[in-house]
Amino acid sequence: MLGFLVRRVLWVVPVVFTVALITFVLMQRAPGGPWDSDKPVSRSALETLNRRFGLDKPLWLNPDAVGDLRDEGVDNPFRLGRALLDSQFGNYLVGIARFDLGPTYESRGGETVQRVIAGRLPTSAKVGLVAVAFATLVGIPLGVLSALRQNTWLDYLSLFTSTVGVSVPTFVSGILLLILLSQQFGVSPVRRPEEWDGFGRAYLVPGIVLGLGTMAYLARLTRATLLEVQRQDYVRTARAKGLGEGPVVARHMLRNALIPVLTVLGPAAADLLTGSFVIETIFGVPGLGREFVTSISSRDYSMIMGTTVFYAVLVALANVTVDLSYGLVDPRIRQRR
Amino acid sequence: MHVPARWAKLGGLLLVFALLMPAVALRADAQDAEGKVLRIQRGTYPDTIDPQVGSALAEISIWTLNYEGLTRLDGNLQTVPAAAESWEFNEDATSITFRLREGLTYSDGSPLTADRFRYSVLRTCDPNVAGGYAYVLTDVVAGCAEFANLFDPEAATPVATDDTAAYEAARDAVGVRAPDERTLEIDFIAPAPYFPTVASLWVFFPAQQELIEAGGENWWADPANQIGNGPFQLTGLEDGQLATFEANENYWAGRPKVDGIEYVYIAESAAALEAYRAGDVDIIGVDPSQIATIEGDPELSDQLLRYAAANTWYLNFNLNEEPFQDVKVREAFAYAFDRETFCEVISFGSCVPTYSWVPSDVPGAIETNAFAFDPEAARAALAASSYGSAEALPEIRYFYGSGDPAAQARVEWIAQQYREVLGVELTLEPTEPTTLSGLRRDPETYPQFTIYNWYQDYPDPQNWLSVYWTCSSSFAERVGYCNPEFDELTEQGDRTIDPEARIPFYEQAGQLLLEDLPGPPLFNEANIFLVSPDVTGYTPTSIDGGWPGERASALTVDVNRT
Repeated sequence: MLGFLVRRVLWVVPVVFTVALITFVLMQRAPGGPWDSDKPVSRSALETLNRRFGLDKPLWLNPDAVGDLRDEGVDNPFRLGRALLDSQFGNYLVGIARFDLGPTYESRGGETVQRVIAGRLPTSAKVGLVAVAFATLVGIPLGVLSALRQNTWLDYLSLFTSTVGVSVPTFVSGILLLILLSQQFGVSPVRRPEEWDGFGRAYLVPGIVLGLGTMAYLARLTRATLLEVQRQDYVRTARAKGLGEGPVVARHMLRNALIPVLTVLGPAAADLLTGSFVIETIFGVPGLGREFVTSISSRDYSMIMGTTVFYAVLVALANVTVDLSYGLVDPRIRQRR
Repeated sequence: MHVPARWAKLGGLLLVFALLMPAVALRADAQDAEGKVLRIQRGTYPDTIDPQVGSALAEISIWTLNYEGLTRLDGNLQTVPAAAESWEFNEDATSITFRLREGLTYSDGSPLTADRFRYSVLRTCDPNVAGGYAYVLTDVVAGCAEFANLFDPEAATPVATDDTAAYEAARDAVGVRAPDERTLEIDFIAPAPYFPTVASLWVFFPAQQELIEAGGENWWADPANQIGNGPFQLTGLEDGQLATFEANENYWAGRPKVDGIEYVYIAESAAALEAYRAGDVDIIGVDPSQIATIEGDPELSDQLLRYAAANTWYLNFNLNEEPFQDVKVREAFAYAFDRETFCEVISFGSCVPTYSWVPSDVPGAIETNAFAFDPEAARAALAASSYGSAEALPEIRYFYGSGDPAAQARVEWIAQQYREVLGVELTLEPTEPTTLSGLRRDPETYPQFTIYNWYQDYPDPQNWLSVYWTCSSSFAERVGYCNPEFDELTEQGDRTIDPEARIPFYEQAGQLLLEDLPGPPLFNEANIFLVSPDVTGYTPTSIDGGWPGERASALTVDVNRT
């Protein structure tokens, strides 16, 4: 079990490396740069800015720096190796290993990526937590009920709800809800900054809208897997030995039906917890989600790398957690390891 | 199969609960801030609130409340005394002496001396600051360009970035002096009679050296470092959410009528409209897509305020590429553009047609309707071109910023117009906006055809004509426009000290621009706001990016909630 865990966690390293590599290549290939402006910018200013952010260094490897060190008579292989990696990509990698994601371009170096993430993630995570809670606490029971009462009004109602939930994008449902709340119930669309401190009711609406899609998906998934499980021999056996309906559903059916749900829930949780551009824009949530999008259009290289790598780590870890939780739900998986 | 009835009930309840929970759980506290506070919605939260580094509208909205330059612009866009009570040129306008008001202070009561303004000028030119707006001074102030370009790696004799002696020497060589506490002298490269207007810009805003140096790279994020001299004092900054200001009791011209101003950042226009309806904000910016809704609402339609902004959109031809080296083709394209329909119908009234490059409220604007929509004239011009017909034209690629569905509809309408009027089939090239501005920076990659704009830095014809279309301008250079005759005219305007006498030169230059037609003007984008009837005492100007009265009405704007 422990060996399995260590193996899985170690796998995160090559995953993150690959994600960083691909992101870096795509970023370099995208035309335009962080200093592009319609107003003329002098070469000297560009030089200053490039130097501040290490953009004057080579992209991949820096043999010149190694040469310089050699000329100075340095032959410590560790120092030479570090000099070789004194490149744009190399410095990102070294930074990631040290949990230092570098200064943001948007702030022109005054703020670091990790501080922005640390400052904004809690707000996004709280919205995401509401979303995950809403999605699981409503979605799974809804799926169970529609499966158990297949082809009744309840099933149709929940099917309708989940179809709407899946197919209506958040920028529609979000704005609709916002207008409805404002015009019918007098709920102001403006949140004061202090309302995002703590875990207040400001999080409720954005969280629910954010969780709507996942809720609907979970409901449909639970319903489908439960319907499949319902016809299994072991369910019939459980009933035959005289178990009540409650224990049959909870202990035998739901437990088996949860595996696909868990598979979905892991990455979905990582997604929801890191925020959503749309939700944050509509509800004015000061979260991390918008950094994912705005950093790309402003070519904030360190922010792009930082948010992508951070997200990759979260998704990878969420998947490890899901793998572990399979064992809790299904003893067969536990034994196979 | 049987399911207990209570389960079904629970399920139903759950659904109802899920759908109604948001409505039941939330009700806003209508909290009244202390005193009389004007609340204004803003869309974009600024990146860099450093007056010598940034230059975006979002930042300007904050600075113009918090700081003030040597001069300022009034409601008629006239340059009037601000921190300086008077100024004087030397006889050929190659140097200016500003005389500061007596007893000027910052909002905290500390003295504001000429040396503070000198620091702002030096900081703007500083190569280590590398501000995005240095160019408004490097083109004028003696020694500024040399200082700003000190570390240019492609210079004949490059200076090392750690050469402090060279740095200090270049800094000292900048032509700005503060011989005493109330006098600031600035030397120019060439005559600059328009300079008092430049002195109203944020590059002159006297942010304090000791606070900047103590605050580090993002000193500006802490309002405590932004002790200003404007009519208001910035008191709070919540990233992406809120900026708060209090009336500056020490402002030289007296205290503003309101006790405070709040910028409430709401990026989503639908949310902004709801906030406005709910009375949470007094002024909002309106998205063009909302105009129809607002006009259909009897109450809101009276509160809609719409006026031309100080920017001109134009047909941006690349004169280095076929077929736009041919002026007749450019004429054909200019005639074929129906500005009235475009602005009123296609853009929901979010722009105002223009035929003059210089906007109508800036001196030097010309009265004309040259190249007004005329399909016959358009076809005739194309027939008279070296190509003779639409079939003979090479492929024309129309580049535009992608990702905005509203813009896409406008682009398709334009393409259809050119197809119907001229028989020209444009190849649409949707391009990610940052990529597009990257392409635009280099004459090699400059798009063949786009529709683009110039947003003025300051309301002087020099900024519209000399800065933009002269041979040495990087803007004209990129599209390959250069006419020595035009340069001659603008230079005469730039050298003439008498404000009245300079204008005819610029008007002639503007006429010449219509003959050469490097970029036929199309329309001024409109500023569109909803302003509550509770708000009074403001004068909109074409340069207000954030709210009507931003530049000229900070002292007089008032709000009386009923």
